[in-house]
Amino acid sequence: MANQNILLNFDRNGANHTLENYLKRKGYSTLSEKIPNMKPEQVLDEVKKSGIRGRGGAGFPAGIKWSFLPKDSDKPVYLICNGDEGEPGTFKDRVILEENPHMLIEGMILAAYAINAKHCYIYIRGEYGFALQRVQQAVDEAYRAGYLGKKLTGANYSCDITVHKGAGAYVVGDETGLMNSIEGKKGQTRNKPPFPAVEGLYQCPTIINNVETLASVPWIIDHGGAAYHSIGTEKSSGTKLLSISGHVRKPGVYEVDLGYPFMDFLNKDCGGVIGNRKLKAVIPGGSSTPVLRPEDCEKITIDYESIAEAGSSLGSGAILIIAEGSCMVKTLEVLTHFYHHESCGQCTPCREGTGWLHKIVKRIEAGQGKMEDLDLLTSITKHIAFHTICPLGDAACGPVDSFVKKFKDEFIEHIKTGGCPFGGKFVRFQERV
Amino acid sequence: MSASPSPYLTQESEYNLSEDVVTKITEMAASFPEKNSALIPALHLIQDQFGWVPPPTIKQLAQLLKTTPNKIYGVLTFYTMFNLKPVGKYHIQICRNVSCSLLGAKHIIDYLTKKLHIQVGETTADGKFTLTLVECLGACGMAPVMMINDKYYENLDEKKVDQILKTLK
Amino acid sequence: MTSNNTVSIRIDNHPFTVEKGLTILKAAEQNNIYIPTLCAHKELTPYGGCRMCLVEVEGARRFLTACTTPVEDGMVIRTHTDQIQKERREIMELILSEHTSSCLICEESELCRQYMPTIRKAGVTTGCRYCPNDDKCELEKVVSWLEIKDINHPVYYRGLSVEKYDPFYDRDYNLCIYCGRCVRVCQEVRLANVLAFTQRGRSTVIGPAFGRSHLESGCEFCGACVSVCPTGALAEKSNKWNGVAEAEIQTTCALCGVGCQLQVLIRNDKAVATIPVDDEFVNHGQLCVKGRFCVNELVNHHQRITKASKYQDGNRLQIPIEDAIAIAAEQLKNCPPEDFAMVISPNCSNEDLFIAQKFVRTVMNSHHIDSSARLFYGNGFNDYLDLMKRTTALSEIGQSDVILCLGLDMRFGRSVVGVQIRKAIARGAKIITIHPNDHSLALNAELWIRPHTTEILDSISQLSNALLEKHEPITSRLAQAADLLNAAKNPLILMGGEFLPYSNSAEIMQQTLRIAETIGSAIVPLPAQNNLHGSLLMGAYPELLPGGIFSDEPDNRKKISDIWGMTIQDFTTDWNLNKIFTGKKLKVVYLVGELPPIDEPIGDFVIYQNIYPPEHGAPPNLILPAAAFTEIDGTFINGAGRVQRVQRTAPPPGDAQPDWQLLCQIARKMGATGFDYKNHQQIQQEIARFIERFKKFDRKPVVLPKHIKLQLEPERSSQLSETDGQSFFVLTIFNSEHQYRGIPIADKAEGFKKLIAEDSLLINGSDARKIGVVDGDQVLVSSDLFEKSFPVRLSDNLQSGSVQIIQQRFQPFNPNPHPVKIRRKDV
Repeated sequence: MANQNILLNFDRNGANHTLENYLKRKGYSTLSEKIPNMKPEQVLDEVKKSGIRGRGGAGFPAGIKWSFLPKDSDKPVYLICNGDEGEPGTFKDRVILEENPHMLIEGMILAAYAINAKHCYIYIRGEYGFALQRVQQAVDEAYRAGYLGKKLTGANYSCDITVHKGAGAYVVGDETGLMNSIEGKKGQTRNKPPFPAVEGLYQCPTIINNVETLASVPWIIDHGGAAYHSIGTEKSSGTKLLSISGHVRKPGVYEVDLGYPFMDFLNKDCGGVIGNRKLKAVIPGGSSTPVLRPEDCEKITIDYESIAEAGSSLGSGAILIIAEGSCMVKTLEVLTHFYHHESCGQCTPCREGTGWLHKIVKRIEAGQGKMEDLDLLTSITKHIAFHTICPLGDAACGPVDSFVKKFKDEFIEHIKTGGCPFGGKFVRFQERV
Repeated sequence: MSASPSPYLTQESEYNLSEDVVTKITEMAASFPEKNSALIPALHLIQDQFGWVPPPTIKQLAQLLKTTPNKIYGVLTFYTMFNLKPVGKYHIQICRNVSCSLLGAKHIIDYLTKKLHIQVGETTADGKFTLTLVECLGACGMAPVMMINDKYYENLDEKKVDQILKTLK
Repeated sequence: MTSNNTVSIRIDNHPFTVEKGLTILKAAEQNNIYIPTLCAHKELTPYGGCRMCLVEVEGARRFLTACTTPVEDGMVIRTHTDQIQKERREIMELILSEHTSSCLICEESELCRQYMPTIRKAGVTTGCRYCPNDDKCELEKVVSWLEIKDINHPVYYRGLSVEKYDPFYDRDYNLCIYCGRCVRVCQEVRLANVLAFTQRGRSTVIGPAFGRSHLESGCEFCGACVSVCPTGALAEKSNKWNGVAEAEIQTTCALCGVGCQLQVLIRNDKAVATIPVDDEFVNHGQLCVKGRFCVNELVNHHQRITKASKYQDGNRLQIPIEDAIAIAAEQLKNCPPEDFAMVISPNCSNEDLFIAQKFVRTVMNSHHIDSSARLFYGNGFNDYLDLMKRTTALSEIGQSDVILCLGLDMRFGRSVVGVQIRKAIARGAKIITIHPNDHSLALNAELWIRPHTTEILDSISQLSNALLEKHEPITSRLAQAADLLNAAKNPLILMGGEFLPYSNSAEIMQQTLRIAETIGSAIVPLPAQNNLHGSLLMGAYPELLPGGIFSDEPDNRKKISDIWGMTIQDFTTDWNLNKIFTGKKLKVVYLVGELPPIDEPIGDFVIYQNIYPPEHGAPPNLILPAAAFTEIDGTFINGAGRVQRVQRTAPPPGDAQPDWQLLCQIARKMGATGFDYKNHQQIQQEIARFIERFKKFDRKPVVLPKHIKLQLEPERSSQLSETDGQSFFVLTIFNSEHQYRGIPIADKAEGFKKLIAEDSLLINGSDARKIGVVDGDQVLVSSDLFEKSFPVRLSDNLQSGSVQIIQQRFQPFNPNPHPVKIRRKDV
């Protein structure tokens, strides 16, 4: 089964970020050819039909999200592209931002048309200096060519895009945190309701989508929602960008049709585990998704349902491969440190709880844990998960619960032997492809 | 008629925002539906000018955006990218998150601390390098990775680090 | 039944119909169902941080926070199922793991409670070292409601040092639970933005930028943060160990002309603290530092006069109050009208002022009554009164689109007006501020026009001319200001205290009036005295009779005589308070809450009636103990003309009595009739015969009659001196406006001294470096007319080249400002 190239429809080694290159790939043709004959509702309809689910991690159908906008509001509508790619293990949006920014811009113009937004923001995490530069260049090019601005080339509406540079905070990846950040505030999440579609940026109706989601829109409108829906599985339609990293021979960003068998992807496309080691664990959708053991992965296909069935989540499509010989407690220590570091401090359970999670995992790794600590860990996660405003609290718990559950022996060994069987270090692998 | 230390303005200081930065901030403030939206971009501009965000500039910024230094400071300290004290000419930020850790970030960190004779969080005596640990930089496929100023350096090992440091004059 | 505006919900199996849009928490509260919260507060936007208010909503995937979730029709809510209680307990345990909390869960806490306030015990045993045990700890209440007896987590003590260096309140962030109430009240309600969360996650700290003190960070010390803190993290210094208040009584603040409504907390017959009242006309639930933190110290200070006393051979002897009244009556009886004078404070109530002038006019047959306002406003007084006649309600700020502020700094005094200005800015109003110094409006005004102290009048008249379209060359800022004012639909002018002592203040006020007339705006003059308006209307001036009518018109005198049923003497006089500097020595002078600023005895016999002993000058012959404003019933009229009620919240100490009662007793002793008032209402009924408004209190403003005018001293030189080439600095001298009955607030309220440096030379840091002085040095300030030494206080608010002194005790200084030389006093 050959995977389609919808988003990565270019030679990965060339200079593809320019308008010239994009036009060669029939870029902006959807805007100039299809849109003049389509009403906004029709565009929205096609996106609904495509069944595309939000690619940022939550997997909520984009078309349905767009239809939440109030019909009777006289406030301006905003569209935001969420390019605050911060989930550890994820680096797929960066490829679009750096190498295919015009496809994103065209997608945003189409989405803006569908939801009647006149002003769009692209929020890119501050660390992505190169991506910011590329996107700004592309936006400037698009303005010069008349694809952005007052009256768009080939279409009778106007659309502006402002590129916004983030400043380093994982929680800003959450929708309302990101809006606060654009408004110049701390990137803390807002209480919901009101939901962003009703009261978002500047208290106006706002739609916020991930980079990959918006970049898929030109293809969907060009080929029709049905065509997109025919790719992938019934509930997981289309292609998905996967960023695979860790102990894998050919790490990187791949585009696959959803429903693609996981083991094929790992062994055929990505060259298998590094150093011919045995697979020890897989985190399938970014650091917040529960870890899987190799036996959980045998049968899974890469789509929302199959991975959910296996007890985890496709998330942002960031696959982390962990090879035999790595310490799972140490790995969890790194992850809990991350969530503790990124907790914004607003909700009690997360502010206090993530600190305790890290502290306890750290002491187990250092050989100073007690058997009760394992129960304490799961009891703390029970009180964090689902009890915070934003999903960071939940995210911090996914790995803790699953690591403790699936690799309990290793935790017990740490506690019983009073030390790390792996010497407190990660194994070094020399072989890379 | 107030006699307490002035909270409102700065008198002369060695950290004055350049005219260019002031113009840009003023323009940005006017371009957003709310002035305050220019805050984070403005802090980036200030950091570009000085390499960090010096306290006196916060007061100047507060006046441009009609807010208070205290409120700006809250935002400033929330985000990790803003430097609250001067950093070296080259600010080395090494990812310590999971993919990089799995592939030897710790070795690179240890190697750099030994080579530069500084601990994490410190700046070399000649003011050339500052070493900081950061969370995921979004370059996991090329782990381990570090960022020097705003440029990424990927697939690091000792040899590569040596080569990179050599090019930084 | 649900209508368009209501929804039907079930809470804990009981059906309720509640208003649409309410949060679950509010709906529950309205129906007396308790849901614990720590971060929610009725004045603040929901935060959702503490997670105590989690409730179960049928159909929801997770527990929802009651404080943020609006009710929906058909919602089924359960507020304390076993599972929720368990979650709450666990979350509370997480909170307690960071709150030094042993006293909250200690087995012996009940027993211990009665000993807790002893400082030694608190320091040794209880976790909360600074726990005032004042029954305000909400954490304690929720912990006991949840019946938490033990916590699973080890306690993590943050080890932060307690912040005690700022005035008025201590901060112990080891007790902070990050509910964010203080930050929200500072940002949302006060719009002051002094407090912010800095850092994030568990490293979060609350406070101003760069770890500076509140004093350095623009804090107004309004105390709003202290009021909302649910733990002992923020505690008021002066009220910390006072325990739980027994009663609360509302009254009007007497510490400036804004006239805020105060709730006075009472314990053991003492006013122990003051908190704001959510009053719709004046202060809308806000107070300034004076109203919030200075009142209790001001009225309870140990130096209060509690007994009458007389001076005999240089010794002060305590005497019974009856004897003192007899002595006073005796002295007054033998005093001819022209040899008598009374000076009464404009801080007194209308009832006091009315009785005082009635006493002077009917018992003493004199018109010699005056107030220190005459000195305070100097020869600009009449022009200032002209502004007062154009006054409007403070709430007009809420409707204005362009507000011109002249010499107005609202950081400490009048900060409640500052809040309203910031609210106006938030809603889009534009502020133009003219002020020579850095001040509270500098950061958020649209335009800050900053003339040098010698060029204030020039700036204001240029602005006035520009508005009249006289084409003169002006600065671009003034032109911008003129454009803004011209385009304004609803302009307003606020006059602060900065320009009042200037020699050319009369012209400044006239130009301001001209601006107001040109653009058709009202003026809010914000006087410093709480009852200036009342002192004029009650007739506490030689020129004015009750109702503010002139005393030298026979018809007026007849009218008053008829009402009183006794004859007011024809009595022509040119006496006023200014005469104490030049005039002859009088026989008897009666001082009510005043102390004239001279050292020589002003009369052969001086009666001093006040709340504190005199601080300077020759000792009086007789001292009568008066009641403070928290101890009297009556009324004040605020700067906007609003008649407001003053209520007795605590008894006066010792023999002290309200001024009017002392006066009536003396009058009766002297055999006068018409002084048999049983209470303040009877006086009000009599006032109502002169002033309609006193018939019924509805707090509607009473307007100052247009004709009111005082006879002022012959015009002083209004020319400001030019720099003579040798003097480096221009000195402006202010009269302290932070006084009550002639007592500097800074003398009695410890913290206030740190805020405002009085009787010091204020100089900007770079100027100080130039002349080689540092904070605290003594300098000699001299000019042709003036030579005196002062301690130096640095203030970067000032422009380079200008210095100022805020004098606690009035001394003429003319021209003001004028050039001076400053040199360091040799050690």
